Amino acid sequence: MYNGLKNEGIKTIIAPTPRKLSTSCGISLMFKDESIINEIELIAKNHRLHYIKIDFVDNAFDKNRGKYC
Amino acid sequence: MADYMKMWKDLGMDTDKHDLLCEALPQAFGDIYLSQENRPEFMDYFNFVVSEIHGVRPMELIEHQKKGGKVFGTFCVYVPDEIVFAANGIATGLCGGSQFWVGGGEKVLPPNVCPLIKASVGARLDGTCPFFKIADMYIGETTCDGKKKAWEILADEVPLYVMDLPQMKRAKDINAWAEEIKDFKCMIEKTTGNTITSQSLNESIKLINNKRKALARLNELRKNEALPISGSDALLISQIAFYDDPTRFTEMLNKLCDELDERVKNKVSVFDKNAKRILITGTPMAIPNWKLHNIVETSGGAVVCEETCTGIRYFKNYVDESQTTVDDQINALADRYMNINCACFTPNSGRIDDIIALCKEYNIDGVIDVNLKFCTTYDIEGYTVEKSLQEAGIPVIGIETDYNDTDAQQLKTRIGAFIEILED
Repeated sequence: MYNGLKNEGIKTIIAPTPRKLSTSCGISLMFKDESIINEIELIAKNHRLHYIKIDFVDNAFDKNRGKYC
Repeated sequence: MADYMKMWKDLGMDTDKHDLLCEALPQAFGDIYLSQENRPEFMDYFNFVVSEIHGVRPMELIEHQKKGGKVFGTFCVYVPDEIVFAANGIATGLCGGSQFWVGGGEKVLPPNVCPLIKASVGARLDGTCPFFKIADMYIGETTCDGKKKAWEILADEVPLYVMDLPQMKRAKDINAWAEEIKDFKCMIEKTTGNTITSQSLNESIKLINNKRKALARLNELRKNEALPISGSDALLISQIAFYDDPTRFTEMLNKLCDELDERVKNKVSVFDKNAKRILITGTPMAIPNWKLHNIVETSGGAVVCEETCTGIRYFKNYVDESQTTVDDQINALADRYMNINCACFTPNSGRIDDIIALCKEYNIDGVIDVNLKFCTTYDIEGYTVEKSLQEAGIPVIGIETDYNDTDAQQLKTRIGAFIEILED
């Protein structure tokens, strides 16, 4: 999916899947611009790219949070 | 993390406890790494590795075992991976970089032992890291008292071979280390059932040298005035180097370096031009210990160099590839590894020379000498390090910390103040 979208000019970032979205899926592709969702769905359909779902997370990353793992 | 539950259960892991770590990782990684602006595109490979940190590589190791191969877990940069790979084994660094694992270690270790050792023991005893469960044998070393005695406890759990690292660097000690590597070779051959030949050892020397060269290439790029990559990213890459497949890692890192070359040509920097250039020296930062880099790089600093075992010490100097007999190759390995300047050696003036030379090469504004709590060797050596840097006119601050979040704000205040007083 990452490469398929990249080949069509859509840049995403590979990220660990937030737990709020799933407890069993490791990799997500992160993007910020909601307006391209339809385009992503169309590219995936046309190129038979597999993904589980497109979803939203509303907690921003905070580089100053000071919480580590 | 994808659904590797069956694999984890088959390994005998405590999956309920492990799930707590899985829960924390995405947010922590996002805060520290994905919040960065203008990150190089090829960091996506390393994002992938972290996203699947307890999945993809463990599965590869298990597949290797199913084909009759052996996996050896290591804890120290003095252990020559070349010997393991020459016997068609796989060497994997065993991490001890999370507070999550410390409690498990404290069940059997006194609290006044460094967190890296406690986390390493805890990861095994609590069954919360697949790498610790997969390794057929652990390779320990006599670097410090804490480790020496911790191996005795771990040996009840898993086959454990200890290499006797000398404490000094006289000619006889380098010879002794060569003999120790020969014994290690015999054990590896017996355990794997494979003979190490001069050809197989030459190939593995080149394999690991190539990984070192890729890391050296990355770190050369950090000498530039415009920094194409953050110190946090460089640290992550170095941490992944310890356990990823060497061939794949080298290839992907070189691709990243190609991108960084372009950034340097175009003077692209991921930091503000006023960011102070910081060198971190001291104790290693096993994955996922990202705390100090995050604090520095959110306090007006840019970490441009690490004089640590998860930095320069891991890859500086290469093994001589021209030797053609196993004995000479082992001597070459001993020479290269005994050039690592760890505080477990006495004297260790080479480390002071290294730090001062690096300060010049990387145009450093200030040095942070970091010590994991209860690490006696680095703590005591910190006196000499800081005195030498002060005499050389290089600003330095000494920091002692562990893996807890509790001192993060205090460190931020101290480090922020240090960075603020550094001159332009």
